[in-house]
Amino acid sequence: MLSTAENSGKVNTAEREVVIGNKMGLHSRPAAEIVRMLSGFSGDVSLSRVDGRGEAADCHSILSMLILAAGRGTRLSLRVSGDGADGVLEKVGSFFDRNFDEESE
Amino acid sequence: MQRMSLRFDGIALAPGIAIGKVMALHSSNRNLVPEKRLIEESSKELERFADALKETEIQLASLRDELKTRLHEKEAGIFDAHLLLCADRAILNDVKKLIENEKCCAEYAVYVVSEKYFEVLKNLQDAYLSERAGDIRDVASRIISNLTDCDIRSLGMDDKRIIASHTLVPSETATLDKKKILGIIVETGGETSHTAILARSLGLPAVAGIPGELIDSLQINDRVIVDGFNGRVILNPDNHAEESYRLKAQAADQLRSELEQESRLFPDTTDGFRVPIAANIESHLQMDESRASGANGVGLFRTEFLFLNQVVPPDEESQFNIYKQLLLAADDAPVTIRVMDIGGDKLPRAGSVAVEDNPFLGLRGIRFCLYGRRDLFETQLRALLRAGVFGNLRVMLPMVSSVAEVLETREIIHALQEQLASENKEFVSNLSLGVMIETPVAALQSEHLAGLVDFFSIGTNDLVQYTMAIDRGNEQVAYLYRPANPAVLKLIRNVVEVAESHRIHAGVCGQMAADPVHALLLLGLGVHELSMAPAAVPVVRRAIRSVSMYELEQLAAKALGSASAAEASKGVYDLLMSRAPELITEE
Repeated sequence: MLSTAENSGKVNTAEREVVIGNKMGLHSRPAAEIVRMLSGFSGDVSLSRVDGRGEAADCHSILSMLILAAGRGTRLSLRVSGDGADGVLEKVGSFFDRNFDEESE
Repeated sequence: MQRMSLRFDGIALAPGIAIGKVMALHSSNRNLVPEKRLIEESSKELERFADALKETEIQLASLRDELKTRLHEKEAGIFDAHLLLCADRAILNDVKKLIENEKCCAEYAVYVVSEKYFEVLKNLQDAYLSERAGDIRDVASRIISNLTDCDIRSLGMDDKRIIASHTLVPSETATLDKKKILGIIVETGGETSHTAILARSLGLPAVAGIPGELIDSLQINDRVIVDGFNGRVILNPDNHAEESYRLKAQAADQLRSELEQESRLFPDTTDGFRVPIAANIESHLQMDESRASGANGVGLFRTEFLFLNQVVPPDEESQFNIYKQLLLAADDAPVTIRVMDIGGDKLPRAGSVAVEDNPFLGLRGIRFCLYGRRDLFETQLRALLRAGVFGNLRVMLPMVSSVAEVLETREIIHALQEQLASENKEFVSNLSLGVMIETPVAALQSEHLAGLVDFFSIGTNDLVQYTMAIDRGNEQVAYLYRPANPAVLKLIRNVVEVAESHRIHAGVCGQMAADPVHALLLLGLGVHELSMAPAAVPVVRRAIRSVSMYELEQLAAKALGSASAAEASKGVYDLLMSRAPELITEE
């Protein structure tokens, strides 16, 4: 899935690290919220563990993100490619920064 | 050819009587592994897949909308989750890839992909995610049904049928078109299963506990009677049985519409004694059902079900939310929550427990809480103390057999309250704490327990079993189980007298309270409150309204001196027979 980004030379790619800060981790509600956020964006968005374990998750898929089983404290690399990648990175990244608008205690 | 008439006794899930032809949803029809058929053009197959997906989404959305108007929002949420899974890109991409690369049919591709994700989720060691694993299978089987045109509704449902199945998953139960269904028979499912709650809300009689082999042997034109009052199923009844059940069904319909009119009446005897009737529930989803029955609050909320089906026990926060929701839904009416009653026949998946030779006499109830998994007990008490500020909470301890157990629990509660205070969390400082009287030792020592607690709740299921030394679950002796045994009545009378002298109340929350004859006998003994399954509330209310407390006290005094259960209940039985015979449905 990520191959399209590398094949076409002009595609913007943006990347940053995010850390899971809420108590319940990346569970289905925030995952569904991310999918909704990306509904108008056709580019690729992925999350992969910074420690390199497991496969990269497709952020257009709730299931794919759930399978990451990213609990609190997990460091992930968020990668966006496509038109307007920077804006999407900002939007999704800040959702992580806000701990998915959930309690962190 | 007339097949032999057979009778089975199972568990009553939803009241009512249904008579008609059966429609068996054999497991082979639903969980069949689709054949790997090779295809010529993958583009056509992808189109078939897209069509089936669209069809599935429409079905799920309409199911959700239908449920939203009829039931709790939460129940409809199941289909929201299914819709999301249905549109999930990871699944769609994998299915498409498989169809393109392997040139296999869409049914097979959906099956393979869903099983792959099912396994992955199942193995994540996370209670929440392993639950979602089942959802994936549920959605996949729906898509496959739509591909093969063999879903429930097209299985030849030309006329009204009684549905028989090993088990019904929520999406199937919700698909049931009430206009075409007369009743439901399943192998697995308890009083609080989705099937039971839904069947009751739709007014469909339902029975569980029918052997799977019987369900598999059913043929399309077999006639069946479902007796949802007594938990009985009769296969191929003779004309005589069918006629007698037809009359019962008519009477039951008549009674039900009458009782519905009475839900706002008070449970007062003819001489003016009001007996509060509360509901026994296991899920906050049953609050609507409970309110509709006219029950006043909750007399028994069983919490062990929060633990029993979980790989990981629920944490403080999730328990807090459940209890809070329940208290808010009860709107200041009393809500009695029983701490986890684990052990005996109810064993948790979470946490290892040693195998016991005699579990009913072993580490169960409060013993399990104090000496088995004290960590779980403390977490539950913390959640309860915090949730208590949102309503009228009473907390109840199961299987108490000594004063020491209550004192130790009080100490734990005190320590947790100090802990919560130091964390600046809100909590109830004067928690209403009661004990269940379920053992002869507790009943006979109740005068020593009374000073330590705020209420008694008599759990008759266990009290009868321990007093008579009869295991209700053992079919060789179950017929000897008699709640009205005079020895049991004497124990109850003793508990009520002690409660009165200590000015605390004594209620009954066992199955005994749900039977109109036994309920009246209990009132005659002086019991202050009854709690029962919501379905039983209207019947018991009418029974109470048809008699006077004076009569009941006279009859109960006589019952105490009887030689047998039959003799003890005869007086009240005759009285009810003369006043409201329509309420006596059990044989």
